[in-house]
Amino acid sequence: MKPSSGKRVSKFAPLPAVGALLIAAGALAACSSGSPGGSATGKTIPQFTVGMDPAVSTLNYDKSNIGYQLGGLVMEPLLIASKSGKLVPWLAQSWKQTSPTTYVYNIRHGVKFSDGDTLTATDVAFSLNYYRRPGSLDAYNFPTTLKSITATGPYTVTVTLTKPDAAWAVVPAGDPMGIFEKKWYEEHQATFGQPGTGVMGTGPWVIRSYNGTTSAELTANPHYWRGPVNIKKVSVQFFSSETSEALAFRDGEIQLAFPIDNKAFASTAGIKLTAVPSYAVQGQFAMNVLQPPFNNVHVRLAVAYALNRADLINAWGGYADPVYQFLTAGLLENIASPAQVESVLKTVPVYTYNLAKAKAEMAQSPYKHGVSATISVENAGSYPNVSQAIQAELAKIGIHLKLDVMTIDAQTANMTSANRKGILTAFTYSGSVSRDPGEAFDFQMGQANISAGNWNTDNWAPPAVNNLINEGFLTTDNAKRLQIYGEIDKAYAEAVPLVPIFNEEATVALASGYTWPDFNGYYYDLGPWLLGVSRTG
Amino acid sequence: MTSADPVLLLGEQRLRAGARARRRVVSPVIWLAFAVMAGVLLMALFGALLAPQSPSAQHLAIVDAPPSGAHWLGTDALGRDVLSRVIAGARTAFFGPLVIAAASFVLGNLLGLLAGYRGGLADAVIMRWVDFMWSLPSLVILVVVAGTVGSSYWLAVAVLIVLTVPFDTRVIRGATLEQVPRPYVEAAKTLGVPRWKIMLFHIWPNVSPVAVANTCLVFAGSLVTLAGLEFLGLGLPPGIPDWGLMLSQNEALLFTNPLATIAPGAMIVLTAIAMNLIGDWLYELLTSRGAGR
Amino acid sequence: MSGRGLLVFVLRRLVVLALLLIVISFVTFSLLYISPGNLIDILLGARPHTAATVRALTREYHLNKPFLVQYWLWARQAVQLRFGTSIQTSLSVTGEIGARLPLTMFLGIYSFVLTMVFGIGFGVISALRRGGIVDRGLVGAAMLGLSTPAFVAGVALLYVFAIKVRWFPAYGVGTGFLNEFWHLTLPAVALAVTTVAYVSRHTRAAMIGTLDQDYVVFARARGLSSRRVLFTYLLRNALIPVITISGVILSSLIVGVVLVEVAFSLPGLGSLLVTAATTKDIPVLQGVVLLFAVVIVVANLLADVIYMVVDPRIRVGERAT
Repeated sequence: MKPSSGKRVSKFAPLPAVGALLIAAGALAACSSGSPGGSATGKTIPQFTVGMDPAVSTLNYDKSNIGYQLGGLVMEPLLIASKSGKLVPWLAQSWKQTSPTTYVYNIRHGVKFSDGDTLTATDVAFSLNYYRRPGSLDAYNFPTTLKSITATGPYTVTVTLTKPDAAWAVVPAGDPMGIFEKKWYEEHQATFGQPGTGVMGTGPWVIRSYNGTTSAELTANPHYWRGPVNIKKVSVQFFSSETSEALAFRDGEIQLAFPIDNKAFASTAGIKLTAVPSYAVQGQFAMNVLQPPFNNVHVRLAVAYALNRADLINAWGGYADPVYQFLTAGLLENIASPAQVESVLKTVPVYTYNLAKAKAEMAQSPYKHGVSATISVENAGSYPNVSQAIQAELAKIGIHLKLDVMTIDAQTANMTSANRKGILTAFTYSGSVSRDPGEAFDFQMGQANISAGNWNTDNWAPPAVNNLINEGFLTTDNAKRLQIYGEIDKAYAEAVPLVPIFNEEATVALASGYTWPDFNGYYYDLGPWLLGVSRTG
Repeated sequence: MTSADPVLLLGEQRLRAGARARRRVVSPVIWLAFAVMAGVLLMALFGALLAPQSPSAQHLAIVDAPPSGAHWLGTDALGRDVLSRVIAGARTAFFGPLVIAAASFVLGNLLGLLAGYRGGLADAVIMRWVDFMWSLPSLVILVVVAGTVGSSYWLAVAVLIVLTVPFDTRVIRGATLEQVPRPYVEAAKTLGVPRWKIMLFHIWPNVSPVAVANTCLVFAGSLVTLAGLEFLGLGLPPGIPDWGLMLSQNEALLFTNPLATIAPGAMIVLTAIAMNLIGDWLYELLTSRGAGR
Repeated sequence: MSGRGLLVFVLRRLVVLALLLIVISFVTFSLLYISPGNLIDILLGARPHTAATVRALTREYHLNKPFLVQYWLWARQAVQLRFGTSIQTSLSVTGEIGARLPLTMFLGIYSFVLTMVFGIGFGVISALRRGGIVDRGLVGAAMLGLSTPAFVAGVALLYVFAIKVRWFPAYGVGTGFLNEFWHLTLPAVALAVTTVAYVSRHTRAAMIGTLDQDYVVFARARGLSSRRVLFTYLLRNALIPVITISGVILSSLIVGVVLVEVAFSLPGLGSLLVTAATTKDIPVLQGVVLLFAVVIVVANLLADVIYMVVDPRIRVGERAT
C-alpha cells in the first residue's frame, strides 16, 4: 500500500504521483551496454505536448514526489532499466561490485549540464545524499542497508552497505534518482525545484519556463551527451482535472497523457489507450488481522470468496487484470520460466468468486448472523467506487461495511501508525518497489514492518513467513528462491491476511501518428522516458 | 398617435397592471410550481418506494450506459440506475433546506420582531450583527468548515441556519418597522397589552405574509447552496444519492451518458424555480403592493 | 453631506474594519486547532513521522508555545503577507495565492462587468416595457437565473458550447489577453447568470418605484424631454438600490467563482480553496480565507462610502432598510 505510481488523483486532490518503482534485476547481469531506449531514431518532432494531472508543484524530490515525470526529462540517473529489466549504463558508464558490501560506479566523462559545467562524481554523490536525507520524501527509495555514498575520485562514486543486499543493484536506476548539479543547487538553494527556478540536469531537455499552475516549456539540449534529441520542443500542460485533460487531448492540444481513470479518459478523449499488462501495481483488500471481525480466518476466507474481481475491475474503470496470488506469476517469472512458475503455483490455494462457499465460511465463524466493520477509503479517484462495490459484495454475506472516507494523508497516518490494532482494513493499491519477487512487496511483509511508519497493515507475520523472507534474500539460487516464494504465496493464501484483486495495466494515451514501443509498467525507469516516443510512418 | 414617450406609456401600463392584479387569478405556472414541489416532497418521503430500482444496486457489467429500456436515464460509473438515484436524491435536497428554512423562520422572526419593535440598543446590536453576516459568502464558509472540522451534511445545515437567520431578521425587521406606526399598535399599547403579546399576536400576523414568502426563498437558496457544497465533494459520503454530488461525479460521463449529469442538474433548477415562484406569488398575493409589481 | 461628516464616517468604518480583521484573523488562526485529528499528522502531510520531522515541525509552527503567543507570531507574519508553506506542495502560500490571483481577478471583473451591464440593462428595459412580452420574458428569465446555481450553469454551458457545439474552448486559460478573454467567457457567463438575474430584478423594482414618483411627472410636465428625464433622474435614483445590494453581489460572485473554477477546472483561488479544504491544507486555507475576508470587508466599506456620496438624503446613523 505504499502510495506509488501516479495513478490516484481526482480533480480535488493533488496527490503525490510517481513513487519508487525501482527495478531489481536480482540475479540479472548488471554490466552490459546494450542499446537503450532510443534517441534520435526516426523523424524529428518539432513540438510535442504532454499533459500532466495534477500540476507539478515542485521538482525538489526532497519535498514532494509529484515531479518525477517532468524531472525525469531534465535530470538523469546513473543507470536505467530497459523494457526487459536489464540494467543499462547511463550517466555511469560502468560499475563493479568490489566486495559483498561495496559498489564502485565510474561516471561517464565529458557529460555536461545544460549550463555548460561538467558532470563529476561530486554532483552524483551530492544528489543521491540529498535525496536520502532524513525527512525527505524521496528517502524511502533507499534501502536501510545503505551506509554511505561518497565521491572517491573526480569520476568515481563508491557506495557501501552495512551488509550484502542483492536489491541495491537497481536502486540508482529511475527518475527518482535524477542527478542535479551541486554548484547550481547551492546558488539556488532557497527556491530549488520551485516554479520559476526549476532544476539543473544533464538531460535531453532544458527548462525554459516553469509555471507551477499552468505549464512548463522545455527545449532540446543542443549539447546532450547522447547526440541530437528528436523532439525539439516539449510543452507540458498542467490540468487540475482529468476531464479537462481528456478534452484537451480530444482537441489535439496534447499528444500524450497518463490517464488515471482509464475508461472515463478514453471515452472523453475519444481515443483507444495503449495498455500493457503490468505487475507493478496490485489492487488488494488488506485486512487487519488484529481487529475483529478480520481476526477470524473464516471471515477472511469468506471475504476472499465473496469478492468478484471482474466487477471490481469494472468499478475501478477497467484496464486491469485479475490476480489470485499475492506474489503473482508475472513477478515470479523474473527468476524462473513460466513452466516452472506454474508448477510451483499449482500448490497454492486459489479462491474464485463463489457466494455459497463464502456464506459457508461465514457460518463457521462467530458471526453467523452478520457483523459490522469499518474500512478506510481514500477520497480520490476510483477508491470510493471500488470500496462501494466491495461494500455491496460483502453485504451479501452478512459483513456490513461502513466507509470512512479520508484524505490520503489521514489514511497514511492511520496505516502507518504505532497503534497497529487501530489500523483500518482497506482496499488499496500497492506499488511494488522492484521487479525482484523478494523485494517487490517486501515493505508490506514481515515482522519488521509491523511498526510505526511501516506498511505491514495486515499485521500478519508468523515466524515461518519471516524465516522464508530472510532466506529469500540470502540465496542467489533462483530455483531455491522460486520454491521459497511459492511457500510464501501458500502461507498468504492459507491465512488470507489480504486478498489480491487485480494488477493494473500500464496505460498511456498517445495521439495517432506517434508510437512508444518501449512503454511498460516501469516506464520511469527508462531514464528520460520521452526519448522513446517517435513518429510512425 | 402612439407615443414613444416612455413616461406616458408607463402611466397607461400602470392602470392596466392595477386592473390585472385585482383579478387574482392563479396562473398555470403557479399550479405547475406547486405540482413540482408536491412531486419533490413525495420523492423525498417515499423515494425508495417510488424508484424503479434500488438506488444503490450496482450493475458493474453495464457501467456508464446510455438510456435503455431497463434504465430510462442510463447508468452511472458503478452501473447504478440514474433515474432511481435522481428520485432518491430528493431526500437530501428537501430535508436539509426544510430544517434550515424552519429554523431560520423561527429565529429570524423573533429577532426581527425584537429589533423592529423594541428599537434602541437591541435593534442596534442586532442590526450590526445582521449587516456583518448578511454579505458573507455562505458557501465559502461551508467549505472552510468542511475543510477544518470535517464534512458532514447536518453540520452544513447547522452552519447554514446560522448564516441564514440574519437574512430573515432583516426582512422581518423591515416589515415590523412598517407596522409599528400603525394605529392598532398604538391602541394595543394604550390598552396595556404586554410588549411580547403585541409583537407576537398583533404585529406578527400582519408581518407573516412576508415571513412565509421569504421562507420559500430561503428554502430555494439553501437547496442551491447545499447542492453546491455536495458538488464540491464536501458534505456527503460518496455513496449517498444527491443531486449536487451526482452532478460532479457524473461529469466524467458527459460523453457516454450525459443524462446522468443533466437529470440531477435539471432537478436542482426545477425545484429552486418552483420554490422561488411560489415565494414570489405568495408575497404578491398577501401584500397590498401586488399592484405595483 | 459635508466633507467632514463623510471623513468621520469613513474613519469610523475603518476602525470597525480593523477590529473585524482582527476577529477574522483570530478565527482563521484557530482553524488549525478546530480540526479534529492529530495536529502533527495533519501538518506532516505526506512526510514521514520521525523524531526529526516532528521536531522541525514543532519549531516551524511554534507548537510548544501558548496559544495566544502562537496567534501573535502567526498574525505578525500574516500582516507581512507570509502565511507559511502549503502542506501539500511545500510552496509558500503567498506564492500559491499570487500565482492564481490574476486568473480569479480576471474572472471576477469580467463577471462583474457582465452583471452590471446586463443586470441593469435588462432591469431598465423590463421596467420601461412593464407588462409587455419583453418584460414578462425577462422576468421569467430572471427567475430561471436566480434558480440556476453557478455550477449547474457551468456544467450546462460546458456541455452545450464547449462539447456539443464547439464555439468556446472547454479547458485551460489561454495565453495573452484576448485568448484568456475567450477562454474565460463561458465561466464568466455561468458566474453571472445568478447575479444578472438578481440585479435586474432589483433594478426593475427600483425603476418602477421611481417612475411612480411625483417628481418624474413634474419633470415631464415642465417640458423636459423624456430621454433627459430617464437618464438624469430615473437611472440615478434607480441605481442606488443596486449599491445597497452590492455586498450580496460580491459574495454571490465569490461563491460563484469557487463553483465555476471547479466546474471548468480553472487553476484559480476558488479551486485552491476547495483543494485545500479537501486535503486539509490548513495554511493555504488560512491564507485564502483571510484574503477573501479582507476583500469583502473593504468592498463593503467602499460600497457604503459610494452610497453616502451618491445619495445625499441619507445621513450617518440612519439606515434605509
